[in-house]
Amino acid sequence: MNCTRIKRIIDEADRPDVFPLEAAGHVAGCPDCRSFADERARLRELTGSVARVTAPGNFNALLNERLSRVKSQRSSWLSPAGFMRLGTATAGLLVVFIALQYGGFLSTKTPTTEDQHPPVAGGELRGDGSSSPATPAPPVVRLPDHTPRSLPRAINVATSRTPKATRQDGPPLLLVRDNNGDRTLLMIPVSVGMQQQVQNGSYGRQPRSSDISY
Amino acid sequence: MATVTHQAQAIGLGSRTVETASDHELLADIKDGDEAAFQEIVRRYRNPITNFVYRMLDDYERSVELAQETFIRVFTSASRYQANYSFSTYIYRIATNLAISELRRRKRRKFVSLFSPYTDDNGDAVELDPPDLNPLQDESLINDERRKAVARAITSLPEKYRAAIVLRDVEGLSYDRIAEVLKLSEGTVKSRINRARNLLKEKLSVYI
Repeated sequence: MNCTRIKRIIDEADRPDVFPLEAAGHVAGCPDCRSFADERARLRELTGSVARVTAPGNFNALLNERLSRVKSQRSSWLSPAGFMRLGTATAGLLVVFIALQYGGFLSTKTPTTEDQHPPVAGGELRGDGSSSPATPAPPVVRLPDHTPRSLPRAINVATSRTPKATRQDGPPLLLVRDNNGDRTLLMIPVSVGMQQQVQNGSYGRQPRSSDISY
Repeated sequence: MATVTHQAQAIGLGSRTVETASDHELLADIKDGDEAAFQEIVRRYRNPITNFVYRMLDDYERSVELAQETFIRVFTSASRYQANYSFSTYIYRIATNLAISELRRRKRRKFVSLFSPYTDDNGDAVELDPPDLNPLQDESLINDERRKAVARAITSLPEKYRAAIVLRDVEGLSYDRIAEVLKLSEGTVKSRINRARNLLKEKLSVYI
């Protein structure tokens, strides 16, 4: 056996002076391993010589006092009074939650476009902010919440615009999607040709002579 | 009912008394609320546990508190105790966890020992303990100084080495039980003890 293995056996021995037979034979003939064994024996003697402290005389009394406190704390939560405290705390939390919800502190909804720009009775908004009493208000169709987010491309383009009133002389088409994700569709049937005008960007201006062909 | 049982045991009417009962039997009685069984467990282990925690912390008052906390945990978790291994392993594990938690709490609060103002590459405290070269006159003083030096050297070890060497060379536990207490493999325990002894050899070279 080599010295490294012998030293490991010496280090792991239960007693610092008793080794297996093969290790003892090696130690007897190897000065280096013998020195290591003596050193380890001395070290273990030193670490074992540190004074042992004992528990103080009032250890049991202090322990029983702490234990009784622990028992009373545990039993207090299982007693009727403990359940009363738990119920009171739960009711208090419930009241606070309801109050917060009633006060709107927990709502994430922001004012909608309609809240910010309420419709004018008897007419629709003009581009300059004035109202036209002659034109009847278009029907309001609210899309349900389960409307898929991915709308057709043409609709997305239209709905991504900010709320915008139609001009008096333009086609009465208004697609609104507010910032909160609530979609409001103001829609009046228009012809296909008018939709083409909208997509080409020619909607909203006076027709030019070049637009007219015979 | 538990009191009656204990009285019967105490006067020898039962098959055993609390003094002769094994640790596992006492734990079974503690589960049933037997206070006398708990007191017997305390009597058996209060000194070893206090000494072990003291060697880990080098703070007697705190060691007594943590030893008491160890017994409180034994009592409160007696219903969950499973006799898969010896009770002494179980109680040493609780004490070790408490002591290591205390050491880490102190580390977070940056308690600075006058003997450990420096740290090594691992961030562990390194003891500044220059050897006193003046000859000592009295044998008792020599022994007293030597014991203090050994205690300081043990306290200055990193916690992972400290727990292993105290359990082995101070408390006298076997390698396999230390492995159970520390939840490590036996090979790792042997490696840590070897490393701890090498560190102690450097610190205590003047006494070897």
